[in-house]
Amino acid sequence: MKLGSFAAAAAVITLVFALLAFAQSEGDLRAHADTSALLVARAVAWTYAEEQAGDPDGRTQRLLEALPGELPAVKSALVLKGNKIVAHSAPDQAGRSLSQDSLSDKALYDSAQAVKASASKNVEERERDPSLKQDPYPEVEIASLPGGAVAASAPVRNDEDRVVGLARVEMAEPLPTLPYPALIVLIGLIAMAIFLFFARRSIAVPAGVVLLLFIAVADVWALSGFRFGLRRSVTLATAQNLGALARAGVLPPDVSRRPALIGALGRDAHGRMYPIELVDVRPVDRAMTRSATLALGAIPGGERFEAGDHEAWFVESSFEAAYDRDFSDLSRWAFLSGMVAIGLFVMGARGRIHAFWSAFTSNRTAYGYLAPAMVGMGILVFVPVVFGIVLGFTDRRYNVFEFAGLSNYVAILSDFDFTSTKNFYFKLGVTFLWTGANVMLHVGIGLFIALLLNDEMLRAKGIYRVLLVVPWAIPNYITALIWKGMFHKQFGAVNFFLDAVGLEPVAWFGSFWPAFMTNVATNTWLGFPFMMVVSLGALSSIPNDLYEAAFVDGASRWQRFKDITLPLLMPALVPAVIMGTVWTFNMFNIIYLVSGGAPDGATDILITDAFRWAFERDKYGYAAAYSTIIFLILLFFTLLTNKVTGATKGAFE
Amino acid sequence: MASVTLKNVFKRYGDNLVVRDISLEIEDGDFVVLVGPSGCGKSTTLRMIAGLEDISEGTLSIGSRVVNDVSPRDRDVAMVFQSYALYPHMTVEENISFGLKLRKMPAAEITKRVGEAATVLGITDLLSRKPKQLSGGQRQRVAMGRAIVRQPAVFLFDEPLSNLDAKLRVQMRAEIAKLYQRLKTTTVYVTHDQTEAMTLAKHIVVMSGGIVQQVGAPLDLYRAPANTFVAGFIGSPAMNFFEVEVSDGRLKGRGVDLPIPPRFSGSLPAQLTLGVRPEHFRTGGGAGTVRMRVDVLEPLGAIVNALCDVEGVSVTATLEPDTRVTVGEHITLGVDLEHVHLFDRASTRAVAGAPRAAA
Amino acid sequence: MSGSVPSTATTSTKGERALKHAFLAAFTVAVLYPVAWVVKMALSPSQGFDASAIPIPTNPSLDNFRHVLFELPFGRWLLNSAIVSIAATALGVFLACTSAYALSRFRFPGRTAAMLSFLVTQMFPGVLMMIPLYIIMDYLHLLDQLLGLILVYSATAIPFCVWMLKGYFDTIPKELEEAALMDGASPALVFWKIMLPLSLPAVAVTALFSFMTAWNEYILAAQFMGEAHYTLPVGLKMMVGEFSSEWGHFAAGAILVSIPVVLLFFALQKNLVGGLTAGGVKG
Repeated sequence: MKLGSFAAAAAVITLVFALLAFAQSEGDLRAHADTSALLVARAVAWTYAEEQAGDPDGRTQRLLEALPGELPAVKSALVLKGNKIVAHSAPDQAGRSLSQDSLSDKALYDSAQAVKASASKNVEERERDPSLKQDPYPEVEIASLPGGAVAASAPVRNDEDRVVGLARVEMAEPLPTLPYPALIVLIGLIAMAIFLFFARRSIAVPAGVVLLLFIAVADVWALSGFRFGLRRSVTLATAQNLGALARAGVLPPDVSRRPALIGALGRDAHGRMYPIELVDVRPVDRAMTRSATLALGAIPGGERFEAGDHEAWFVESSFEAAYDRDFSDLSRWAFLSGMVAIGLFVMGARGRIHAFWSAFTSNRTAYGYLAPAMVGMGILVFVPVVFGIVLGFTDRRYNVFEFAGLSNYVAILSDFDFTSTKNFYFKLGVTFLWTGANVMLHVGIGLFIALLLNDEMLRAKGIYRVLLVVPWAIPNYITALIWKGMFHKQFGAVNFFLDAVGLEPVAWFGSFWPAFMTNVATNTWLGFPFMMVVSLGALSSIPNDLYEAAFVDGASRWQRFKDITLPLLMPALVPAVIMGTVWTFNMFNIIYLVSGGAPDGATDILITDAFRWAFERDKYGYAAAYSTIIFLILLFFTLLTNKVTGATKGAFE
Repeated sequence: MASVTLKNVFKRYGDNLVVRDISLEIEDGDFVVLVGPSGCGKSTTLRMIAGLEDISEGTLSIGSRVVNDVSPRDRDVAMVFQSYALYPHMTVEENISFGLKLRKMPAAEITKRVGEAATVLGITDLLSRKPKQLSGGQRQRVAMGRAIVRQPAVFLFDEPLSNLDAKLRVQMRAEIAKLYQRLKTTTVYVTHDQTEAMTLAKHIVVMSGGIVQQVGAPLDLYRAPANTFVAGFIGSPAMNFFEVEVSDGRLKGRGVDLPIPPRFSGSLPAQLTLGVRPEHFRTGGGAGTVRMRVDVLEPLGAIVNALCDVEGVSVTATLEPDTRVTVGEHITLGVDLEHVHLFDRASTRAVAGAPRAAA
Repeated sequence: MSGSVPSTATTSTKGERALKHAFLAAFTVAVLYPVAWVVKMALSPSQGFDASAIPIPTNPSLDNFRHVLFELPFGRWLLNSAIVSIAATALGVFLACTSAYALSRFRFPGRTAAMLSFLVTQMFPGVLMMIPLYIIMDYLHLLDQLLGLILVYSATAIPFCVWMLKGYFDTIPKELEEAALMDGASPALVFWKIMLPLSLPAVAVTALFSFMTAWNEYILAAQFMGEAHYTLPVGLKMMVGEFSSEWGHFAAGAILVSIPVVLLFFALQKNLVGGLTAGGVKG
């Protein structure tokens, strides 16, 4: 028994590590893609700024046209100033103005405006708090494109350091394919595991021990090697791109502001390379890169270049070659298969094979029916969720995922500054308030209307029912945008009504309570029909005899409602309310699209905040921890209500 | 038409043994009733014959074929369910012809068979209705019609009359009996009502606790029950039991002092249970008498049931309708010693005696 | 007669009815006002807001509709949405049906775990899954493929559908299936000819929900799809950018996008009540 539990625990830990390794390597690759693209974008922006500061000689356009050749990963690059594309890697696009009719042009324009807005906000923030170490608003934009490509945008500044435009680069790094040697090892391991599954116990146990030892050794070796390997390959590629940029004669001088890069070069007016100051390089990284060599054209030979207290390393090798030398894949698969093998071995050694197999075959029809859905959900729902949870334990610094333990959770939960609108507990409060208000309104209005309509003698009630369902039928993102329009300060219908009645028009998105009310109004509008329909159904199932009996007993209208209608409605309403609560708690679209969190994130609920952390502030690990907390809250809530109401107990029969 | 044979059949649910070691030989054309209290395993046995339950151990044969692993549709059996199980979304006609359509029978043949079955059961004018428009009795007939048209080798009935009211039950019982006379198909019938068993069956199988207690013709079970369970189950009102011991050449127990019935001449176990059917009490004394106090009288017209008390033991006696007896009165009734039963108290098995003269 | 009927819970006096009508009419008008407003915007040629709250367009024109239908790739978006939604609904409902059937009719080890998992996955915040999903889809080379969206949508729709369908299947007596088996139906035929026809209300409702979820889904489609494969929500959202919006076009697009789901809703709304109360909402 003890051995089994220990092995099971070991298997789980192994699996967690495997997932972490997986996440990390993927994250690294992606981070690398992002960094490269961003570097190039910054380089382009800097070049343009330099050109404008001196005599515009078209060097930016030449650079852009040369880029796809120098760096094959670059698909396109452009510089946008105001409304005009002033330089583009495709020459025929250079010089044209943005068109109102092209959606991609519109998106580009919006991007530029967003970056500009962020930059000015950063300036304000830094004026307010000069000790700020990091810009709170991202001045660059990195968007993932389908197929693994990355679009990086960096601001173009004029000599007064104001943002006047955008440099945007699209790069597609070729993603590596599975290395075949790892595949063969994987198949071998699985075959061994299957053999163990069916072997007699007398063979299974010693064979299992051997396999366990092998896996343990492989894992230890892989563990020690893989992080280095990954870090190395990412660094290699980054440095390669830097080298290419150097060849093209362009390097952004402020690259050193970004940590975790190994080195950078600049070329001065005489064509001499000069190194750029390094920040935050760790000894172990230096040891790795020393082993590689290279030449960058006319650079005098040698691996290391020194000038004063600056150092730089050159490195070589193509991206794919580096990856092939990398053992990270092997370690990943070793982890996973090790977990599987351990689990099977444990089962085999304890003699459970037969019981498992017979249970499996005797229920095979049931499993057969269930399998497709479970497999689909397994891959597309469970794995991402587990993955997401694991992500919560990492920290994505600019370049790499790092195992961060519980620091994300600590950061979220231990911030007790309740008054700040960015605080987790504040948002928790807002979310509870949001959920409570909505559910009460939905049930109140829905039930009220249902009671009105539950009248045999009311003509046209069918029409009312159909019409009142319309808010539910309309897609909720459309509803959100419509209501957002209706609450517009100057042109929105709501303010017109207020004006017509003689009241002051309200700046709906200017402060917390009005903005909160816009969200609640919108969600109530689209949410009450559901409760109405459920109530109607439940009401119609209450037998009339009960009312007649109560009437004969002398009960008043109100008493009949209180003692017959309400209690008999509960079995249908309670599950609906529980479902509605969970949906409202996680209602992303309305908050995001109606108030957009205005003012300044105050009306954001937990889930929109999590979204922003992931996609606007780029802190995936933090956002993942955030989302896990949300999930746990909901899970707790569901378990609690289940215990109290036993609402879903019947469904488990 | 076929025989049904069970050999050493067991049924297990997890660790629970629901049917233990049942062996039955049901001959071709027989009407066998499985009877017993709730949970005795009779429905489970029937469902095993139908193929709706797997057989844990043992063999089941229909005709000469072992059908343990054969699916229900290939066993050539038809079943009538307790709740009728009519398809609510189909008309009566569609319900009845469902199985035939599945077997790709030509439409003309289907119509012919459905028409015949409807005529036999008297439901011809119900053919286009839906089940929810029918009464209980009508639904039962439709369920039977569905089974008949298949012309199977074996009919299976799972407590078909339990959902009907008393009068209808009697009526339908007769219908089933008539149907059997007409079709002579092998029938296995499950019920918990011993009256149905006695009236319909050619052979009764009494079950309790997953075990067959006794198999035999109805009257055989009535006259010569093999143990106290069968004795107490068959016959209504139920047999009365007294705990007695042999003492001074007589049977003595609480409130009981009777001579040993002449049938039992051999040696008797020390501890016995004496069984006396209610109809074997006589007014007017006799060789053996019992004194009892009348608690409740049930005048049923043709007979009077007297529920009495013999020193704490409840006893029912069936008396002539004009017997003069009042509640609370102490009476002494004679016992027809020719027809009493003796059982070994520990094993509950009947003690064999010399065969009786025809009663 | 009407005056002397006592008002019980389901009957009312004439006066009460008049009051009800007044209230309900006013309420319905208030509820439908935003819809009318959108219609007005769609029919008004200007792209900003009209300076009036009255939902009647001053010079109605079909210009916005024309622009949306012919000058924007609306047809392509529509095709993409249609393909994805219909396929996801078909796949999701089919898988949910079979799973719900297994959970309702069979008892097997892991059954409770499976049901629990279907319940719990409904609570996952989508944000938690988006990044990992992106990575997984990338690995499977399903990014910017309609098939990828189809698979994700059906997978996320399954839990709710299974929950509702199972509840409904539970109300169908097992004897009906046994009778069908005895009649000679194979297990598959039992499912198709007996279970499904009797479960039509619940199946209709789950299909409706799945379709709506897929049709209205924005975030995942925006992340995963490239321009050629944009679905309607993504296309529509692009018209309302952060700093520049075309409300007229958006309104016209919104109307066109909403019509199919609203119509579907009306068509199936008879089954809505039945399916909801007998299914997952059962106490």
